[in-house]
Amino acid sequence: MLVSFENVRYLLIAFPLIPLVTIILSVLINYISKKDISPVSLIVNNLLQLVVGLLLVARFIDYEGVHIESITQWQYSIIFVFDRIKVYFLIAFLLPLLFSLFHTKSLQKLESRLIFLFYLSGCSGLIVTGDIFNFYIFYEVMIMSAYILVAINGNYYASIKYMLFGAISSALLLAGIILLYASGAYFSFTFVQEIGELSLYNIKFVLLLFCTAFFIKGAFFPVSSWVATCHSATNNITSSFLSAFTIFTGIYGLYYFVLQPAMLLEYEQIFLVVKIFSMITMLLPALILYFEPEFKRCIAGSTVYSIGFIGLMMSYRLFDLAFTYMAIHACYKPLMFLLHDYVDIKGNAIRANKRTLAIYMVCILFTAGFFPSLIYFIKYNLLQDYAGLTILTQISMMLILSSFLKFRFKIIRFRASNVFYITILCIILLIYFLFPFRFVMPDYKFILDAGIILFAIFLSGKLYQKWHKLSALDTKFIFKTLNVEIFYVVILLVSQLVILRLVF
Amino acid sequence: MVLLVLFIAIYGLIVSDNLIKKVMCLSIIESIIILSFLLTGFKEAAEAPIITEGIQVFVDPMPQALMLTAIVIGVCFNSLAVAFIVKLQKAKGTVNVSELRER
Repeated sequence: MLVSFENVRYLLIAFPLIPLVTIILSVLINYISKKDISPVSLIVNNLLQLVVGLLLVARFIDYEGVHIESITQWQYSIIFVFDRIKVYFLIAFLLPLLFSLFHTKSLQKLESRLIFLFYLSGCSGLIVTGDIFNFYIFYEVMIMSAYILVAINGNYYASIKYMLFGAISSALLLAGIILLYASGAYFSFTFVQEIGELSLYNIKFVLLLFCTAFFIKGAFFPVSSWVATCHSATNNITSSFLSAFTIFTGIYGLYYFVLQPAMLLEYEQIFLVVKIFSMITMLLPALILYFEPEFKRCIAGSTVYSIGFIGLMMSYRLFDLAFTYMAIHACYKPLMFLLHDYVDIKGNAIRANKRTLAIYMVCILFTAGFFPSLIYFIKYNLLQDYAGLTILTQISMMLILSSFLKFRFKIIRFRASNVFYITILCIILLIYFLFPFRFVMPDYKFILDAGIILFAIFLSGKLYQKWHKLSALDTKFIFKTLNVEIFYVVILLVSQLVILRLVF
Repeated sequence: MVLLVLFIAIYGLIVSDNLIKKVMCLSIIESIIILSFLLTGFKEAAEAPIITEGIQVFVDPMPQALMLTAIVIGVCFNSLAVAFIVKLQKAKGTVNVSELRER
């Protein structure tokens, strides 16, 4: 093994500290010698974090236990926790970090590069943290930086919308933390071990508050309207991180602070809640996406469909399958955003060079989940056991595919870095090589899938032109004003109270 | 009383069109949550948690320490939100959500 457990302690501490040290050095050198070294220091930071992250992946990828590291011997010391599930989230962070090495020029000013480093520090801390309060703090560090990065291009409305939803979810999380503390539990990630001794009634409310908070952070329908607005409003490097990692902190929290305790308590209704909202999240945002006229909003909005699919797999307790989906999503989604730099958009026409368009086509197949993408194999691993989900899955896939095919892709001559394309190819081949599940290929469903693709092409053609009046369905009808969008949070909370039978 | 103020703040958050008022409502909600947490560590006739000789009963220091962090985060949020709202007012000429359209 590359790293012993004695050295893991240093890796866990170093991981969130590297960006902070980079910030201090960049500011000091800028102050003393009046030289802006931040473009170089950002690349060095990304490389260092990649190395530390890969060492952690190598150490924990086949580790079955939970590794706990305390900074000091004090009872209330900050603790770091790492296990095999966190490896998936680490990969979801490392992949956009790797791709961002080629696109650091998107961050043009010293200030934006420093804020981006703060953002990376928050993300890294979030992965290694061992208690829910530090989770809250690192989350806030990450999300505050994200608010600024969204606003930096002048999209203040998108940033304020992001802030409002972020603050509502954080308030719910904080309320859950209070109730948990009042019930007699501490905030450790391992609090599930103590949970059996607590009042079940209180814990049900704690889970309800956490569940609602993570539904908002993870953008489950109907609180998903902010994703398309906020993830598409910033530069492509930030968009890629927001859609590959930040949004999945909702899934991360849902797993550690809601589903794990629920499994221990055998509290099945929570799984039912996740299942119901995941199914809605798979279907309705896909329908909204079909009527979405902007390409970048389409890329951003398609993340919500993936969240729904992942939530569905989690509700069936297929956690490894769900988190593998998330890690693969972190490969193709940042590419879709970063390749946006090489694209010329005029109305409905997307013009780019051959290689860019080829990668876009592969990414669209991954997003919708058609053969030969790995998402296809994940989908059939789920559908083999739960065939009842077939219709819902196929309709969502068809809508997602047609929402991208409605754009007209045209080839133009445009030069771009070969290293970037070679890296993309290597990563895609690597994830196929490392794919841990069966390559399930049921013969008769090939015909069904071919039919769905043909119907998706039909939907994206003349039929889409006919329904043009429904264009921008979300902002015209479903999420008409910000007040309505915030009201959906109350609906989400009340509907969960009813499903969990805590009232009525 | 706490619940009443909480419901008023939630109502204001949903109904109010002005972004500044929405941020104020969120700030009130956050303050209520922080106060509730501090109440969990409160003990009747107890001292501050600075442990010196002779002090036997003191309040739980944990909520106080944690909520200090939450207050700092709240201040950051409010200042950032208000700064962006001022920028938005300058750019669009309004902070009314029914007049602000995404597209």
